[in-house]
Amino acid sequence: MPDTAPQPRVLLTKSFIDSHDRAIATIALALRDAAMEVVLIDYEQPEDVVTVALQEDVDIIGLSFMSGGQVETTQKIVAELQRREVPDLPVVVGGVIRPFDVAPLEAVGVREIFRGGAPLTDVVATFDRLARAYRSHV
Amino acid sequence: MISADTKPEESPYALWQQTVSARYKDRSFVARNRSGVEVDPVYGGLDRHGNEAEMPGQYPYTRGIYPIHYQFQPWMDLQIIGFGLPSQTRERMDLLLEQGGSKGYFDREAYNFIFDMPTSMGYDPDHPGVRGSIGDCGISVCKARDYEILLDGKDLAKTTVSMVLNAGSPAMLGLYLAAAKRRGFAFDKLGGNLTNYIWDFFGHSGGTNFSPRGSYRLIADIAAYCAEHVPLWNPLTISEHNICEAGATNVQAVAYSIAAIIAVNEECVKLGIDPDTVVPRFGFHVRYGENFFEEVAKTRALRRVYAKVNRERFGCKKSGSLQARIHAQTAGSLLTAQQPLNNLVRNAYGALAAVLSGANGMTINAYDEALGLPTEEAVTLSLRTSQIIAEETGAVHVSDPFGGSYYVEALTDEIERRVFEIIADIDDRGGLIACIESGWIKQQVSAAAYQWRQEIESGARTMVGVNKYTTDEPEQFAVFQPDPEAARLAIADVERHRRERDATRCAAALEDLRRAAVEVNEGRAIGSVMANLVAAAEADATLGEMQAILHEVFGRNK
Amino acid sequence: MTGTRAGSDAASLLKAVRDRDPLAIARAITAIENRTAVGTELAVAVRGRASRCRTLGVTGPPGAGKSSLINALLPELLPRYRRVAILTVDPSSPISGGAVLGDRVRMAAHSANPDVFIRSLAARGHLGGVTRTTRSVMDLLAAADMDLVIVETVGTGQSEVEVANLTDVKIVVCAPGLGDEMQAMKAGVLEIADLLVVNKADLPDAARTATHLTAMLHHRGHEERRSMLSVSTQTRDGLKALGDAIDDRFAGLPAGPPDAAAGGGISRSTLAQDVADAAAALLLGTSDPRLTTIVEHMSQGKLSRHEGAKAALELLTDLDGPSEARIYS
Repeated sequence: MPDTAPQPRVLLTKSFIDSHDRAIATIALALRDAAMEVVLIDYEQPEDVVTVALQEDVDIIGLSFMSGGQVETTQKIVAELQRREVPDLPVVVGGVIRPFDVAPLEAVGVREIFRGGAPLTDVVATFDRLARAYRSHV
Repeated sequence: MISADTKPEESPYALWQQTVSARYKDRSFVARNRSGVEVDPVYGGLDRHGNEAEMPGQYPYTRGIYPIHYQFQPWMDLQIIGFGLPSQTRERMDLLLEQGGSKGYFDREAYNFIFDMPTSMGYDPDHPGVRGSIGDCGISVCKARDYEILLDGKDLAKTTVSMVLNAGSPAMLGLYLAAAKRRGFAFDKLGGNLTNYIWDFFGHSGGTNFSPRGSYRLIADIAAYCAEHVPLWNPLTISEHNICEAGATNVQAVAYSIAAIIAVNEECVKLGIDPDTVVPRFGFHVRYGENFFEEVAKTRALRRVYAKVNRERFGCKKSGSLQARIHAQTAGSLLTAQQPLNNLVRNAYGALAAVLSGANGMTINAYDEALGLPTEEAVTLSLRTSQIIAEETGAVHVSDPFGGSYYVEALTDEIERRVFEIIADIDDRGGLIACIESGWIKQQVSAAAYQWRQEIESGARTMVGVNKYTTDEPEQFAVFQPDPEAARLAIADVERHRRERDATRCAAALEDLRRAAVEVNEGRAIGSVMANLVAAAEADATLGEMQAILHEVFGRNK
Repeated sequence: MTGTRAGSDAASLLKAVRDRDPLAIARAITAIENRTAVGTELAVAVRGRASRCRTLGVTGPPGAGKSSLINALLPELLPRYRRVAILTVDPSSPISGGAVLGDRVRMAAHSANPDVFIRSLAARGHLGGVTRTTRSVMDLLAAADMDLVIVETVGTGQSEVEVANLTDVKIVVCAPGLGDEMQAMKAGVLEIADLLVVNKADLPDAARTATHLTAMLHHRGHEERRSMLSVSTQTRDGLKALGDAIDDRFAGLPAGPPDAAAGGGISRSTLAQDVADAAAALLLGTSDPRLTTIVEHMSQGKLSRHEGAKAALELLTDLDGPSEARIYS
């Protein structure tokens, strides 16, 4: 392992009631194959995502939504990041993101939105770029 | 195996003719094409080994489970329906009916309900952490009263109700049966399906499901109860579709489907239930889309392996135990957000593959599902797709039209061989439940999903509009927007329900449910969980309250 | 309450760790695991602290239910040990070096509990079921006032004995129907166990597995220090007894040096290890161009590895090393 340039640590997560895990599992493997360390969890409360992100010292959070909750859940997670004083920790969102979800997601500072069919190489590159930028500032 | 020197009257073709004339009397199923050529309902000949080929309706049912299929009974169109509150879904149901949809067998009306994620997983709308998903992507239902709104005025003895849901399945059937009972319908007249996806640890193995062992115990309980009290009800749908959608290959998906059936049957045998009493009501849900001929061959292999396993491994004798009934659905994971109209074409080919495979029911996805909940226009086009295949293309005139094709027959045999290989591997690993618990199954499926994705990325696999023939046109489509008020209304409604019900009666019924669950978990009084779910739902217990008790007793998947 | 206020140098990070700031603890673990200059400095600063808290190793084959067992055991352990940290180790991909860390999903019930700190670690090619720096991470967690540190190993087989040297009490988890896996583990892992736990005791085969293991325990005839318990995380049967057994084992441990962390029990070899780590921290943290030259000369063959190491050591005395105050604060 390189001692001086640690690879990004990533939190990938979806709601415990969202059973569709193909996308999130595939992204996890792609990030793994790009040398990242990926913590994979389901959350029961949006706030739990932030607790885990802090304990795991991740450089980026990826939220998957296949069955609803896109805006409300993301808003809660972002608010909790601010409350726990890590407002700059980048959040990206993927899955079924409807046109009317986009504006409110962007308004809370979601860095990137990935829809089904987004090239894995783009997804990996975005995670890598955002994670490294965050790590270099903390 | 029928050999070449079989007596003529015992040849598959002769036997088929006898069956047809006995069952359908003098009715003719010969069609005439545009050129005036008469087309038989099925064609026979020699198989790959030079023997007279098996005919449709004959063990092991490679060519279909009926001697005469669509020519007598077309497939049932079941469009997925459900969003928001029960009252909102009801409006959409009425629209579908007006347009000629919702037709079931024998002049029944048929509805294929999908529930929002909290409901599907067995949570009430006021459960903490689910609020953002209420009424989004499905109906919010949590009490028997909701069915009285959803199905107000419907004759339930003439309505087929399909319920597509996950961990909430057992409690949901309780709600429906309780609602039917309140309206005075006898259980032996009620027809419908419960997908009962609690068997599915392949792609939908979240922490809301029961423990693998608990799940298979509950499946046996529900199946035993239905066999005795709700005999027309289908209490289990093994979804090859879901396994494929999770990323498995067709061979894996068929093998895991059969492995799930084996696990259910083994559970039944262990509990002293004769598989022949429950298996005839099990069904399959199969995915169609990726590779036209492979879809047809996998369906034929699935029917054959199912028949062989149930007869040879479990000693089933009833023909219903050997016949895989198939509900077809086009592939949701092939729907693209890019150039979404292309999905109409994909769906049509998928549906055609299903028809040529011999399907009993059909769900054609809406072309705009990758963008969100389907619009009314898209739902209508799905129905039209099915109607065009049924009434314009002539595809329905001949059963198993690919039977005898060198390609499809060879592929069918090869899929069967590989499926039995995987089943043997699972047996060696201690059976399906051990494979689920060790995480092996999950790894297999994720690896296949990842490989598929990498093929798309590298261009080895083409997806038109995604990795080839792409355009930069901005997406401008009407996307159905769920009612943001639904969550507030659903929560207010369940809170009112809790205030107004007879709390003492409800608590007592839930306590009875707990006692029954403990007994069943210990291997006794099989069927009593389902009976007590009905009783608790009648006593106004909610979906989430019943689910909490089942989770406590049968454990949660980890 | 978070690490944004703590600086990223070792001294301020360590102060925040002692203040139990979760993000500071997390960042300190990252630094140690990455063996950065700060991380190595931290590792030296906290060396030996783990002897001040209780440490518990959990190992066993895949599918035995290690994570689920820890999850179910936490309600027993939390009243006895106020603050509990859990390290779960997963394998890294040998090809990319990346990893998918999924164990903590089974412990989601404790996510919101401020007295539970869970961290997923990737083995990064280190064999033995733990990571190269697990011991230092345990020391750091002890410095963060954890009363109990649990280490869950990768769980791939017989080579996972390293956890034996890291933890006071070792649990080996097995489950019915894992006969082959247990056979494979028998040689190594069963030897290190203090407590053998048959998980999933609600299953029909559990009794047979327990009998089988008991037979194996008594096979050698000498006095048996290991004991066997059956538990079910589903029915919660046996969990209290397991909690008690863990307590008993902790109580029976020989009293260690009273203040090992402050210097008790230091030997010359301990010092040598500390010197090596401190030197590594300095070398990794410096931008001194002379070091670059040494490395270049070594790769060009102008210096042997031994000569290069000696040159680097000479250089070290020149570098602006950590002050006493920074290391011992």
